[in-house]
Amino acid sequence: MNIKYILWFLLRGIVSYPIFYIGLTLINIFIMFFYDIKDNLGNYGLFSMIIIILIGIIYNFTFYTRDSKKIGIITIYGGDIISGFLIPFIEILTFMIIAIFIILITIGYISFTAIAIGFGFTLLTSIIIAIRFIFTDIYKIIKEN
Amino acid sequence: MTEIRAISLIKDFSTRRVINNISMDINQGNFILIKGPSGAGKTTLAMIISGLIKPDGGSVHINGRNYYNLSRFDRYKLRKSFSYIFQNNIFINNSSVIENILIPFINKKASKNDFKKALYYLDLFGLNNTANKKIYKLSGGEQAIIGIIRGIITEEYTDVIIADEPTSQLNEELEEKILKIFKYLNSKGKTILLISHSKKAELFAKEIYFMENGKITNYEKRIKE
Repeated sequence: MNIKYILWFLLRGIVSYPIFYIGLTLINIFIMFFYDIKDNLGNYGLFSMIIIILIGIIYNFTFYTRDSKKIGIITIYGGDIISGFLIPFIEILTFMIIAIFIILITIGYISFTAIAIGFGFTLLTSIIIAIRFIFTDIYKIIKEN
Repeated sequence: MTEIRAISLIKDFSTRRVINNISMDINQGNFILIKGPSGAGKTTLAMIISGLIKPDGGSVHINGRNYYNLSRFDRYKLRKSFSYIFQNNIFINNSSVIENILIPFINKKASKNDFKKALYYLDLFGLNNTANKKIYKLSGGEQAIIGIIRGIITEEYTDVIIADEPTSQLNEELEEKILKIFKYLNSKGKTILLISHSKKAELFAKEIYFMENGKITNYEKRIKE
């Protein structure tokens, strides 16, 4: 895949849907930040993290379902079976990296395990989104959107 | 080289049979025109043949392989031989004209030549000043032209061009220009599958299928020089 193109479309997406990408950055910040402070939250630490991860998955899935035309068109015009995975993965990963920088700038510390949890969230969300694209008729997706 | 054989295709949408036992052979380098009234099943047939809609019955063989029995991975690979021009302009609305044209290169390394080719086609249709405009700012006719340019710009990499009523929103002059481009691509060995109501398109086709109520009611083979 031509990564340059994906990033270009991502930039276009940021301009069109800034609120979504701000939300995505906040979710990434919360997931990684909550992991690092979960011990301070006592019994609620793990529970809070799971809730945020679930919200994050629903949030991304809803967005990429509503905005599925872009991935559908790219897939029809020469994309391959992994386009449905790779496009959301690169986009969510970009905002995970931004979230890491924001945490480092504001709090000054982030553990490797928190980054791994953030990466796991990115991977899991992208796989869930990709499943929809792999198992749904692409023509149907672009016609319906 | 892409040879297509459709055998006894059937497709139902809820209780309505849209495609009813259609068979056809499409050899590389053919120029096929499908005609028929609205709702005859022309678009559905083209979409089944090009691998975008699974039929409820029958099979589509591409280069001897039963397309819909292949793994998804192989289907995606085979589908790269096709290029599409859709009836309803389907674009990424928040992107510019040039970005929409170059979408098919997302899986390839678009060279400067491809970019120049896109500009050449825009110039050919008098749309060179629209390259950086948002696609939704263009009129329906202009969008139709952009859809056509996107469909033909990858002709180097594709064997078959599926065009679903590409000229329905265009005037006669533009229609002829586009049909001539199809003819030129066909002379280079590309297969053209054109759905059109146009009388003019009949002059360019090598084979014409007439459809009604999901069936092929007539077939004409034109002898070309």
